[in-house]
Order: sequence, then C-alpha cells, then structure tokens
Amino acid sequence: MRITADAKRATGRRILVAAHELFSSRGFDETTTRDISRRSAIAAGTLFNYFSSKEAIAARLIADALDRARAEFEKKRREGAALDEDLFLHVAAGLRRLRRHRKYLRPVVQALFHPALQGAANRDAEAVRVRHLETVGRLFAEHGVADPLSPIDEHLYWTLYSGVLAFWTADSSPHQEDTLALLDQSLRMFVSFLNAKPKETA
Amino acid sequence: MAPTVSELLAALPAESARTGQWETDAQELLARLSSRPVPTGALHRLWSVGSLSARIGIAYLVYWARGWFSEADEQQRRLMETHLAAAVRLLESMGYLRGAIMKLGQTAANFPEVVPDEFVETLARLHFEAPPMHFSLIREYLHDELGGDPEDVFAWFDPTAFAAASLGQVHRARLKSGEEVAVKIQYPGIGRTIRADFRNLYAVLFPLRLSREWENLKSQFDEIQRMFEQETDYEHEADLLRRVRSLLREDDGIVVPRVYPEFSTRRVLTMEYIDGRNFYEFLASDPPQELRNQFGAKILRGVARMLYSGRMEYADPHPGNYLFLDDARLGLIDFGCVREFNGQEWEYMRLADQVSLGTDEQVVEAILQGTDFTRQELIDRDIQDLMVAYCRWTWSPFVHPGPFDYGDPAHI
Repeated sequence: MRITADAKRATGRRILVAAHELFSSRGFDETTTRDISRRSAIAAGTLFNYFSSKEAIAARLIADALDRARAEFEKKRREGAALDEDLFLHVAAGLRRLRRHRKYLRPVVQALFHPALQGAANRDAEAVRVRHLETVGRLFAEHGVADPLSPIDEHLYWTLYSGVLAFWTADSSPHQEDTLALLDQSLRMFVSFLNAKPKETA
Repeated sequence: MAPTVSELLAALPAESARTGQWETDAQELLARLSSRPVPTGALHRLWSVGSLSARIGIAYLVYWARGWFSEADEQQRRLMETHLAAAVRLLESMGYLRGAIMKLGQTAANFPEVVPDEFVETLARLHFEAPPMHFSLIREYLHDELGGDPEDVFAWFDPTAFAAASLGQVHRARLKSGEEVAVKIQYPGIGRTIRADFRNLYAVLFPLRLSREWENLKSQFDEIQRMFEQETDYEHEADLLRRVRSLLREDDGIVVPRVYPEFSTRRVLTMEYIDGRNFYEFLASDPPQELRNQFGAKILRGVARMLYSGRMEYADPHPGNYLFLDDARLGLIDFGCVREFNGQEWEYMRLADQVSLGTDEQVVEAILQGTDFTRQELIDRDIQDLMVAYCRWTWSPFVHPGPFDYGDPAHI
C-alpha cells in the first residue's frame, strides 16, 4: 500500500509528539526508540524510516522550535536597538520556544551542540547551528561590526552560545533568571571584544 | 610605601592623649601620610572632612590602633591584616558594587589603614550599581515575573528607563485602567548573588572573631547584610510604602506613591507615577529660600512622622529619594532602606530623647547602656568628653527652641 505524503507527515508528527511526551515524563536517556514506536503506534522498524536515532528526533524537535522562535525574533526586533540587545533577543526568543523541552534537553545539548561537534552532528542539529550563525552574522553586519564574522569569531560565539544553552538546561534559579544575567553579560563581553579588535584595512 | 601596623603604632603619640596634644600629633601623622600622591583611602577621607566628626574619627583611630593591634603579637597582627586584606579583595570582586569599590580598592592598596570599623563603615556606604538592562532583557524578565510581555500586560510601556534604582532601573508605563505608573525592575539574580557574596565575606572575616572587637564588628556586619537583603526585597518595600502612606496626614504635605500589587512581585515594584522634579532639577530652578525651607521642613517631618508614629528610621535619606512637586508637596519615593525598631531599641531611642536635655553624667550612662563601650573604656576623660560633645552636637537641632538653621556656621 502506498503511503501518501500527507500520511507520512502525519506519522512524522505523531513520532515527534510521542517522543516529546516520553522524554518529558521519563527523561531522554531513559527513553528508547522502541518506547517511541510503541507510543506512536508504529512498528519498531518503521521509526527508522523517519529518524535515524532518538538524537535525530530530539534535534528535529529543537529545530522546529527554533524556526518558530526566529519568526518571533524578527517580529519583536526594535528599531534603534543596539547590537547586544538584538543578539540577546535572538537567543531569548529561542529559549522561550525551547522551554517546554528544557527538562530533558541537557543530554541532548551535550550530544548535539557541543562546540567540538561542528559538522559531525546530525543534519538537523547542523542546520540549527548554521541558521543560528547566519542570523548572528547578519546582525553583526547590520550593526557595522565584523562583516563577515571570521571563523574564529564564529567558533567563539558558538562556544559562548552552547555554554549558555547548557547552563540554562541545568539552571534551577527562579524562572532561570541566572541564565538571563549570564546571557546579558556574556553578549556584552563578546560585543566589546569584537569592537575592540583593530579593524582590518582593505 | 604604606606604613605597616607596627610603624603606625610606633609613630602614634604615647602619653600625649592625656595632655590634649594627641589631636595635633595625630593630625600631623595624617598630614604626613596624606601628602603622598596616592590617596590614603580611609585616613585621607577623615583628614579632608575637617569637622568634629573627623576629630572623633582620629581619636577613635588612635584608640583602636593602640588598643587592638598593640595587644596582639606579631603573628596575630599579620593574621588579622591578611584576613582584612582578603575581605577587601573579595569586595573588589563583587562587580555590582561599582562606585564605592573604587574607594575600597584604593584602601586595599594602602592596607593597614583599613581599620575594622572603617571597613564596616565603608560597607555601609556602598551603593549598588546594577548593570543597565536593555528592553529585550526587561521583556523576558517581566514575561516571567508578571506573566506576559510588557506590551501585553500594560497599555503602554516605555522601553527606555527614566531613572536608575540601586539594584535595577525604573520605567514609565500606563495600566489598561489608565493610571500612570512607575515600574521598578531589579536586575535578574542580583539579590541571590548579593546574599551568596555576603556569606563568602562573612566566612573570610570569621577568623577575626578571636579579637575582642569581633562582637562589635559582627553585629555591624549583620546589620549591613540585613539592610542589603531588605533592598533586594521589593515585596517588603511595597509593604513599607503602604504602611507609611497610612501614617501620613493630609496636612503633612508629603505624598508617598500607591502600590499596584497585581503588577508587583519580589523583584518588580509597580507604583503610582509621581510627577515632580528631582533634587538637582529643583535646585537648578533657583527656588526662593522660603520654598527651600518649606521642603526642608517636610523632609524632616517625614522622618519624624515615620519615627514617632511608625517606629521606623528612614536610614538612607539621600537626594534620589525625594521629588519636589509643583504644588509644593514633597514626594517620598524610595523605601529600600528603612530600619524598624524592636521594643528594646525603641526604649533606648526614648532614653536618648530624654537625656538630650540631661546632664553630661546622664549622657554617659545612656551611652554605656546603649553601646558596647565598657565603663573601663570610657574612663579616659578625653574619650568621654568627645562622646558627649558628639551626642550634643547631633541633638542640637532637636533640642533647640524654635526653628533651627542647619546653615549656621557655628553648627557646621
């Protein structure tokens, strides 16, 4: 029986919903692909037609959330905002969308977004990284700082961002306010670091 | 190079305290120290004030240096110096303590001029300078504290702060019901950071407990920590605002803003916006002396009303806390630093009031009752005379019959 594109999409969505429920209630490490298949009412093998691993499922959940966050970021940008405010909003919009996944994100972030993993992570995680850095690069260029960002500056930024993300997944302060302070001060530091660098002459 | 404690002790006048020569000798010593190009921190500050307070400070310095350090042996002295220096370095790492930390930084370089009392006094005068918050940070923070973005919670919210607060900043806004409000917002996490830093500071100072000065130092330190924690609790401040509002009468001519509890939390305080000039704007408008006197009287009336009707001491009256309204009313807008007297403390307050009109002997008895001075310590006649003179000077405006002129050169 041929599966329609709509049916495929629906199954994919069902897997994501089931995975999110199981990750939230049992934890990421404690959930197996078999559990997810069962919850999605599909055969164990079928799941691998859609996702190569549970890390891949988590990566898709994150990518979807951050896609929505990007749209919200563009809507909320303020005319006349300084660079560190725009950078902050970009990350904060993402954190807001990721909040419902926060409970199980710690091992996921370690597995998918560690700075050492560039290019070796799965497709969705790599896409998240690339799109995030594209937006950051665009913001720096719009504000007249570093056009384009050098590979080292990109790596430094990604290290900072993934560090804040990791911190956030384990942040037990009320409403994760410590993450807000950390993000604010990290970005200020990074922007002033880039501003202080001598401009390269043509 | 800064003198060591031993050098300082050797240079201090020995018996001259009895002959009255001590003050001149101590001032000469300070002059030598402060003629160096780098300011000498605490001592420099004492020297440049040049008033009765400074002379008392010098007397205490002489008394303290001789009494405390001279009793300690060399090893203990070095230990004390190490601990105090470590405490000062720790303070320097508290990045939100910006302004006064520069002063303390200079002091650290010139240790051992940091005497424990000065150290604690400097702590008391520290003010916080939280980093400025841009609107994106404000939005995320208010989203969590108030349950929605400011654009959704309020009818209008100014993304730019119009005033700084000691731990954050203040924004204008308008409620959906139409009222103009001021929203005071604390920098995220700063309250807990301060508490943690004070715990560390206490741990570093704890080894000093072996000195006989420790109990005094500790109680002052506890008091300062309590004050700082109070400043971080906007719910407590909201409660104070409500209580002080209820104490004031129509004819006091003082206005305290209303609190909107449905838009307030421990870290966000939404209150009525009061339209008035700040202290510097008021002075810049070159107001007539009569108007200045009226406002001066209202400032004092506010303090007195809070003290005698509410048993609260308005502990940090500085220009930023007042607004000068066009209709000549005084706005009182900051209650982050209010001290409430317990029963015993209030009784002592009343005693102080009574002896302000009493004999010198009665004043000395009251000092012994209310402070940690022992009778033995106050046997030194010069110290006693100084303490009494200081008390009388402090009380003189209040026991004076009729209006008192704070500008009177004789008082200054």
